[in-house]
Amino acid sequence: MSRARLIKLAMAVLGIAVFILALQLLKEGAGGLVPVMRTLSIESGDRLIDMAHALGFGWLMAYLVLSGSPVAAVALTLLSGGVLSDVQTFAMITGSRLGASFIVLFVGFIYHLRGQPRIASVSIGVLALLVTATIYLPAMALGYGVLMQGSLDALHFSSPGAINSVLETVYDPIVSWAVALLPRWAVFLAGLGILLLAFNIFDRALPEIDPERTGFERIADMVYRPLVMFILGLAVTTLTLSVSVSLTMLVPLSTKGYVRRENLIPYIMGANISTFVDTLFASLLVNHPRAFTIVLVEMLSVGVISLVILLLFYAGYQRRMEDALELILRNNRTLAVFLGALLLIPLVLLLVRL
Amino acid sequence: MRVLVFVDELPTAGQALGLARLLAQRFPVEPTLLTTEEAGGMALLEQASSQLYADGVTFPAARHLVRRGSSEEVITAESWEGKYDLIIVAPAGRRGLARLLYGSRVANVVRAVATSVLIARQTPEVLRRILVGVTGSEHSAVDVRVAARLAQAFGAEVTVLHVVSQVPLIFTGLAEMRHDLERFLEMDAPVAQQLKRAREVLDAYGIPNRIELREGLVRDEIVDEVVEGRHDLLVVGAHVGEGMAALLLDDIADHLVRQCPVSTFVVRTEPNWTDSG
Repeated sequence: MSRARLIKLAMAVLGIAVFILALQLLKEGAGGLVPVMRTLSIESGDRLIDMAHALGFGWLMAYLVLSGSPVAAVALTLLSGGVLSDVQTFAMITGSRLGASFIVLFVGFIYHLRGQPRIASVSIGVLALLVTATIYLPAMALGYGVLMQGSLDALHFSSPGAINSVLETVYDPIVSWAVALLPRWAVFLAGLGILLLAFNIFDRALPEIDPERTGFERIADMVYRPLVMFILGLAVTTLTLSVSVSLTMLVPLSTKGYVRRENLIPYIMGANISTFVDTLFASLLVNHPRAFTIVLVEMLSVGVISLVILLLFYAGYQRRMEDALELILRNNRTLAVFLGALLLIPLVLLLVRL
Repeated sequence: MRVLVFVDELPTAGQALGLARLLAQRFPVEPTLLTTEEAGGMALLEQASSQLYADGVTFPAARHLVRRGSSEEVITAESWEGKYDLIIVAPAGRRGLARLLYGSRVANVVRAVATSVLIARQTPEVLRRILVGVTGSEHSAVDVRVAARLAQAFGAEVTVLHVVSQVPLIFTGLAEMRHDLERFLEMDAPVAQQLKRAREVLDAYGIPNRIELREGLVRDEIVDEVVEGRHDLLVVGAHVGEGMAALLLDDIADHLVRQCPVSTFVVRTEPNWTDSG
């Protein structure tokens, strides 16, 4: 094994160790968030309103940490700490994805402010957000129904007892020390910081895809079948764990820096499903009977809605997305209205009352 | 030019016969009329023949063939046996469940045969405007030659269309460049070379022509240009390839033969225009 591979392997092991530590700290610190959650009206007593609050909370939190995966992991620790219900956790995970897709747009917008052509820099971000919103919102309704029915409750996994014993032996002293030293909410914040560090380490451990060996180097020239791009998005994001990273992976894949708009939408759809791989892993570590089921329901709901669109209504869907993109990018005013709405909607969701 | 014309009991069959008559005005067409027993057999072919030769149009007597099976099956089988230059077929007009179960007839035929196919939708009295779609593929040169040959025969003008559907993920000047045709043509990209070659070929044939760049989804932009430019005929290549390429790549021609509102010439190989068999 080459030295570079050994380093990557060591980084992966370190990343997992730090990730687990972060989850343990978040879980322990979650109780300290209850007063904050009450202030933010996360718990109103009405299930749908609570879901809206959690959706907005996850959405805004993803803006703050500039990523969706840590927020999804936090949602699971809040479930484990008894702060969020199962449907609220589900909604917060959905919110984390909506917030995360804004990051691609945000980066594009920064390029725009630095004088790069607006269409070139912002269009991918807007498209990623439109696709995510149009898939995740119906998927949330579907997933809510599945969770309420308990159709997938039989399917739950958790980490084996032996692994739990090892985790307790290794991590309990660290967590106990932190809890003794800091108030609960500070333990939670420390956990959040360590979680972001874990994802940073993961980024360094991820494999690099060689465009010469992928067979997809002509991605800028050819219009691939939507299902092929869907599977590619699914596969690449399983390796990168992040939709925004996965989207930028298309650059070396195309070698020219372009990608056909026909190829983008199904790629984003696929990426939006496998981006939950790390959340699924986290669900095994938080020791809550419904954690795995919630993430699985999220993945399946998004997968089902994506496949229905892809196989039955794709041409019409693609056209509507293009029309919406054109409308949003018509001028600076329409783009500003869109960006304003993206900041306002999660705030409204968070603060909505009966 | 050996031409296979499929006719059935549907009103759209008249469009296929109309296009055969139109081609026969300018090219030495040797027609074969094909139908199925289920559609009406020999009686239907006699009727179609009288329609084909109405108004004193003179070209060699049509061969009549009646086969058993579905329209797709008989067209495909005959195309492989008969060594035709061109197949003319009209859409079956399947909708709803029939479309879901059997697919589009014209798309099925285009996929199954190795010959060029003319999808008959409207029958113009004369071809005035021809649109040809060009990509960076070498096969585009063949598509342009077909458009040029037809335009020369009918005195038509040709619009060469390329649709830019690429969006930059990194930040280059393409967004500005694509709106400036001459700058676009100066690029070293294969598509710019094909567009310049298309212009040269059409100029050599003495055909009025223009190059049009559009931006968006390829198939939507082609259909929009057909409508906005009031074109009588669309010429596109069918060259996705075989094996892995066919498995991975989307066939734009396959979508266009189903969506295009005017007759569509799907080019596989250039027909032998002068050979009367």
